[in-house]
Amino acid sequence: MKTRKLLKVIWIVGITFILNRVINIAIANSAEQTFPNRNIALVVPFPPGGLVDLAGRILAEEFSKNLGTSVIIINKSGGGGAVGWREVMQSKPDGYMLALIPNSLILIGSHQSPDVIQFSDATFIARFVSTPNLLLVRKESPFKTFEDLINAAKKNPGKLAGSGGAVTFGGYFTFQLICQEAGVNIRHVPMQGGAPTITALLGGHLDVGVVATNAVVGLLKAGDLRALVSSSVKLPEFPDIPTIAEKGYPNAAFGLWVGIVGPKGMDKSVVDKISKAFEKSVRNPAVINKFAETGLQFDYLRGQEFVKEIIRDTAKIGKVIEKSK
Amino acid sequence: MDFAQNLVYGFSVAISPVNIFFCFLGALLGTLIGVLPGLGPAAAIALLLPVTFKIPATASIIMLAGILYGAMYGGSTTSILVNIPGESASVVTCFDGYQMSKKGRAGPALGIAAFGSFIAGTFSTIMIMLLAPLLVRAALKFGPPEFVGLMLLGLTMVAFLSEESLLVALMMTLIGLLLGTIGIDPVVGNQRFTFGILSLMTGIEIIPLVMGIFGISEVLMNLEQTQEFEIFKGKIKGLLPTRTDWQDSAKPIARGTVIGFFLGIIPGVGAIIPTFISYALEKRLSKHPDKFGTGVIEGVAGPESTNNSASMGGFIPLLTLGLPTTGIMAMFLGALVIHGVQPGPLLVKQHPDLFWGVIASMYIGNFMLLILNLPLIGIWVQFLRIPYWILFPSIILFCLVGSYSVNGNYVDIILLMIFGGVGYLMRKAKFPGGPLILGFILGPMIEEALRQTLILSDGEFAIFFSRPICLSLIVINLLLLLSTPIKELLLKRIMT
Repeated sequence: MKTRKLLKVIWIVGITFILNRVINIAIANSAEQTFPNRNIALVVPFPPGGLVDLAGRILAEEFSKNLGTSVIIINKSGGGGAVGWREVMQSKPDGYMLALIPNSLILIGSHQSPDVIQFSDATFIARFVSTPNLLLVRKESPFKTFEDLINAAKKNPGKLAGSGGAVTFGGYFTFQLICQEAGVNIRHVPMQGGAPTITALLGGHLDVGVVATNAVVGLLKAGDLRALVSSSVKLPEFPDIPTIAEKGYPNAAFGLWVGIVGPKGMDKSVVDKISKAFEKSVRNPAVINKFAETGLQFDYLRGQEFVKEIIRDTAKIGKVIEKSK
Repeated sequence: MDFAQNLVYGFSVAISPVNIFFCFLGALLGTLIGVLPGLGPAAAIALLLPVTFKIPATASIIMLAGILYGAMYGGSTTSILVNIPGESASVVTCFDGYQMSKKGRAGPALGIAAFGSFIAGTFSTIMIMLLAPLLVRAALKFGPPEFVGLMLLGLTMVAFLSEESLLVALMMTLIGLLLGTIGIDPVVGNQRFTFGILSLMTGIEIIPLVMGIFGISEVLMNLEQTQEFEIFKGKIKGLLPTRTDWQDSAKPIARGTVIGFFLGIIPGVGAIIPTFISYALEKRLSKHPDKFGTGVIEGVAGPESTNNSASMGGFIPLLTLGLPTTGIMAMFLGALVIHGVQPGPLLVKQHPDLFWGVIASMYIGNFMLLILNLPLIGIWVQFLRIPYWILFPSIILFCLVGSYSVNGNYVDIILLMIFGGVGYLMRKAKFPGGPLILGFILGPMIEEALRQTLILSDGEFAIFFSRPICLSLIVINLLLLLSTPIKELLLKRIMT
């Protein structure tokens, strides 16, 4: 009786093993034929609902259509995005695992956890959307213009308080870059992201805040917050907001962008295929419109151009980090 | 005011067949998700987010809102039946809810949770309608110093969570506070206690922690007993709360509703802390505080009402300021902006159909949930009859799936196992889990708020006493802390 049971177990294990091998070989063979022949995982290294996640969900359908296979958004959060980054960069470079990343992750990560986030680990396919950070004050604030704020900060060094989020956020670097370039000292109160910063700003607990545009469109339109300057480009929706370059500090320009990357060592033909399908998807007017509605502007850079932009941003961030040490 | 007019308008939007359908769908899905441990509303809303791109804005928000409050209803079910919080705001419900089940009173516990949630949900809906813009302005007065005051009040609640020894409870709180320090330092950005483990950089997730301490450890404890084959063997006494239950629960429900709603509005508080405060308050006010933790209905009624009204209160900052105060609210924001609706002060004016329609649908949805949940109680209670050899593996499976689904990260499963083991040892030593969870949630919030305050004040502690809200919170805190010893002292005097 016992031996029979044992035989049965061995038999089942054996069959499973053989089936498994056969299927694996079949998959491996077919993979060599044409590039997308199964689903592609597009990893968002953050929890759902954020800016990067939304961008991914907007483009996924069109991207699937143009690639001829399903592109599935997978949220792999943790470690401020580093967990998802590492998972994708260590995956097989066959084009079936890609990631959407914002500049904050790779720029800050490369300074904070250089053992995990290295540019050389990735194939940079394209950057596709960007949004400036805005320097904001509340309605009741005495600062009507950017100059008002800078003058007040110069007169009272270290007396004003502001926030651009915490040191892991892009807003923090915008904040520090502007302060550095303008030569002022505004106390930085760390806040865990845009929403707490806006809350503190509206409640009058902070004098000034730096927040990504998409988070404050409603409050700007209602007049509860006033934007003194945009950290990078002009916003079509708010032509009255000057850019930081217009105010005389072109070196302080720094926005937020999102790009698509894969692991290093991807086949050139595969990269080309992905890149072409991706470009077609994000250039679709309906997709661009949806981006605009979430406060993201279509802003395309491919391959080498994209890499150059990253190098430029890294240098800027490096300066802030050096100074703060 | 034209309140009645708005209400009628809202209902006219909400009762359109499409909206009713999505309201029902959301409530139903939410209940199911709430019942499944670990699978919280956040995961479900994330999955459904792309679907909402294809349906009208009002309908999609109605559905997502349904999921949220449906989950708050359903979350209590597993807490009560198998001692695993269905979602993290139902942790407190485990304390007495599960004990009630063990006594064969799962029905009344589930019933009072449903009724309490209904009352809280309805109250919050009306409050949102009447006072939303006004309330949010008041909530904004809570800056970093006020948060410190509020969180200290939360810590004081430990004193009321301790079942056996206060010393042990304080110890567990300290461990919770320490666990909360794991991750990136909020001010300078250094890593603390991560031991180079990437997944610990943003700290320990609450879901694996809670499910390990409560769920896995419960299974392990029960494995020791070879005799029993089901959680409850005797006769199940009644499915609905009795008249005495109602008398005991009325005030806790009322208090829990109000506390939850007002704390829920304050950006950043969330739904978990108010449930702890409600539980502690009920214990403090109770005539038989020693019975808390052994299955008293007040311990279920209060917190279950609280988590519902707190999660509803969270809508106010979103709808009136466009501020997502929790991860879930961030997803609502996403769903709104995808439809070209920008939440903020202008929302009510620009999209009255959406604002009033969604609010009216919450009223309808709460009613649907009550209708949906009452007949289900009979079915849920039968779960207690499932033999252990089916129930236990399923519980463990759900805990595993739930932990993994938070981040899609296997490290969370390892953490779940570790906390399961720790939770087992804690139970053996009779160390309570509640204070640990409270410390864990409050720790990072206190630290952040305290350090923010001190940066704002340039290191001056006087800031805590110069701001009226903060000062009154500290005074209340002191009164609470001193009331028991003073009372005892007075009693002793009288006795001698």
